Order: sequence, then C-alpha cells, then structure tokens
Amino acid sequence: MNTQITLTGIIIFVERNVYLRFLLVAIVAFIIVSIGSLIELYIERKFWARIMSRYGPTEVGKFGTLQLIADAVKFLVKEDFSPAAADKTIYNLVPVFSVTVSFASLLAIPFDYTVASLFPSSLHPLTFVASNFDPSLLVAFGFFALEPLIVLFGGWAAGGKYTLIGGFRSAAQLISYEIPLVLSFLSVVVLTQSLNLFQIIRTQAHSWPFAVLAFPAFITFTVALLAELERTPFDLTEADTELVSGWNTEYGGTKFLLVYLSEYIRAFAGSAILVSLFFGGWLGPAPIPPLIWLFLKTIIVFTVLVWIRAAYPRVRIDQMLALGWRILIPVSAVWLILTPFVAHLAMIHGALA
Amino acid sequence: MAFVENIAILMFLFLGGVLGLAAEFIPRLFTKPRPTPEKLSPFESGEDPVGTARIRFRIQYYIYAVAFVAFDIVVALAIPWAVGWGYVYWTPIILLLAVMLAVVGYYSAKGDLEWI
Repeated sequence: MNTQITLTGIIIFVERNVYLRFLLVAIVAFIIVSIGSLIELYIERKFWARIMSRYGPTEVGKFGTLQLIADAVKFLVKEDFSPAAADKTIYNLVPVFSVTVSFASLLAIPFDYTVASLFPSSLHPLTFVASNFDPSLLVAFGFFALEPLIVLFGGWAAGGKYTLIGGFRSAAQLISYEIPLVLSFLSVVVLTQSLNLFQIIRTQAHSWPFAVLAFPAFITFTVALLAELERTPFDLTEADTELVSGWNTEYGGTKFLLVYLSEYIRAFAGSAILVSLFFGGWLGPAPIPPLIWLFLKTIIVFTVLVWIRAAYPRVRIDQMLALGWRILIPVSAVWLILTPFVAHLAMIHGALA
Repeated sequence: MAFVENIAILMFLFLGGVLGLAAEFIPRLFTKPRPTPEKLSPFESGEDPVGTARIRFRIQYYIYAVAFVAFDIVVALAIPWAVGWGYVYWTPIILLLAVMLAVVGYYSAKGDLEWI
C-alpha cells in the first residue's frame, strides 16, 4: 500500500474538501490583509509624519520598519483587565466581533482570484475562488454595515462617559453615511447590471473606468467612505481633544490591538472595494501580475486617505451631519436617477460594453 | 448564491473569530491580573469619576436613527431595481427617490436635522 504523501496529493485532498478549501482561501485573505495592514500602519505613521515635517518612527529597525512588530509584542504582554463599571461579557466580546466582521467583509474582494491566477492553471482549479458569486458586493456591505452596532455596544459596555458619547456619535455618523454610500455604489451596479464585484471589474476591461463614467458617484462614494472608516475629516468619534479616544477609550492590551487592527482591516477592505468599483480592480498592463495591481492600487488609495487626513482639519458634528443629509444624499440620489440615461449614452458612444 | 459560498462566509467568520479569541487569551498566559481601584475606574482625564456612566443622552441621536431606518428601506428597495431593471422602468425608482428627497427637504426645512 502506497502511503507516500505528495504535494499533488495534498492539493487534490484540499481541493476536494470544501471546508478545507475555503479555510485555505480565508487564510490567504488573512495573510494578504496582515501584510496590507502593516504597510498601511507604516504609511500612516511615516508619510503623515513627513507631511508634518516630523520623522515618525526611526529607532527600531531600518527606517523604523520594525516599530510595528515591537508594538504588537508589547500589546501581547500587557495585563488583561476589565473596568469595574463595564458589562464584562459584552466588553470582552466586542473586539472579537469587530475584527471578525471586518475580516468577513474581505470575502467579496477578488484577492483570492488574483492569488490563484499566479499559479499555472493545472495547480489551481477555479473552484479555489470564493469571491465570485452573485451578490458579493451586497454581502461585503452587509458585514461593513454591522460596525455601528458593534461600536454602540462597545461604547455602552465599557462603562465610561467618553466611551458612551463616542459610541453614540459613531453610530449616528456611520448610519448617516451608509445611505449615500449605498446610493453611490448602486449607480455602478446600474452600469454593470451586477452586484458581483468580479463581474464589475470584468466589465471595466472593455469600458472607461467608472471613476470617469460615474464621476459624481465616485466623489460621493469617496466622501462617504471616509466617514464610514472614521478617518480624519470625519473622526469626531475619536476626537482626541474632546473624547480622549472615543468609544475605545477603556480598551487596553490586546483588546485595543484587535479594535485597532479591525479599523485598518476596514480601511483596507474599503480601499479595495473603491478600487474594484471605480478603478478596475486587478486590471492593468501585463508584466505585473493582477495581485500586485490590486494590492498596489489599494495601497495608493489608502495613501491618498492619509494625505487627506494630514491636509484637512476635523469638521464639527453639525457640519458633518449636514454634509451627509443635505449634500451627499441628494447628489447621490439625483445621480442614481440620471445613471440609466448616462449608461444609454455611453453604450451608443462605445464607452461602456 | 450556491451552497458553497455560504461555507466560504462561515469559514471567514470562523477564522476571524478564532484569531480574535486567541489574541484575547494569549496575554492571560503571560500576565497575572493585579487590579487596583484606580486601574479599574473609568478614565475621566485624571479626575475621580463622577456618578455612573449610564447618563441621559440627546434625543437627536434617536431622530437620526429613525430617519435612517426609513431611508434605508428606500435604499434597500432600490437595490433590486439597480440590478435587474436599471435600463427600463424608471418611473418607480424616480418616484421612490423623489419621495425620499422630498422627505429630506421637509425634515431639513423644519429644522429637525439641525444639531441643537
């Protein structure tokens, strides 16, 4: 009896077992998002510092590159405690839920397809791809939209006044900007007739980038995404001068690490969705593989977000809510009504396949 | 959506949950809790905490939440239109979004969206 274990044998075994196959997809997504988050954090600290004429981290490793590893190790050996006033069960579970939900929103982003296309086609059957299903965009936004609930629970359960106010502000902001966010990505959906990110990217291979074809939707989507990610012009939820650190003030040690990580996973997922919707995802000239294109575009979008953070001051809460309800919702709704006409014109002139 | 995609979603949730729980439990192996009253009290900029944290909050948040629920249903109804009938049947979506915009305008004019 031949019990020799070969690489092909392992691949066939993993390929036949649907649970192992998708666990492998999830692990690949986790590796990609970990590398992405580390690069994001480094850009956030170094690029932001350079804009402000500071140096940023310099001591640990060459150019401060190992600073993030040192921080993570420090978080791991911190004492684990819950405040006396906290609702302990919810307080301890909120960081786990937060990171789980943020991670699950990566499911729809076609990173797994780009990884699979690195291998020769005999080694990767297309079944490896998990992101190619019909309502993938809807599933991603479903997980994205769970964040206000988690933030509200987290702020309430931690048992501090700052966390409670931060949680309420956060929830008000996130739900206000969810409507323009969905309305603006719907205009891309009208152009492609699909909720599948895979399909949306493939349509852009034969058309103008949707950042041009659906320019107003692109602008409203970017602003709403900035607010959804709680990044600086809209970071009232953790306005340091008013609320210490907002809803996560009372979180310490690895709980804070998880909250922080989930924020950057969300930023990564949000940038990747923006790239897939408006800049053609993995599409790009041939010698560079699709994986690098998608990753590079995502990181560039994130760098622009950091640039915006460095360039603009924080808005007031009434300005933030007025911008959401009085400008973004009407503009994105009117553009959604106009989109079918635009699609018709674009088809006549060959700008849309 | 085929059955296998549900397994993919479950696997993503499973991996995220396992890694999150692991990250919460690893420091409990290395460290011993040494609670003190100061450490366990909520942070209020170095002052002694005043009263409970379960304070009254603005009614404004409630108004925004109600408005969100109403508008989100409109948006949810727009999704099947956008996927299936984006090029035809403009009338229902125009009516739907026009009603939504009218309501936002009315809200706005009445001053209920103001942050007092």
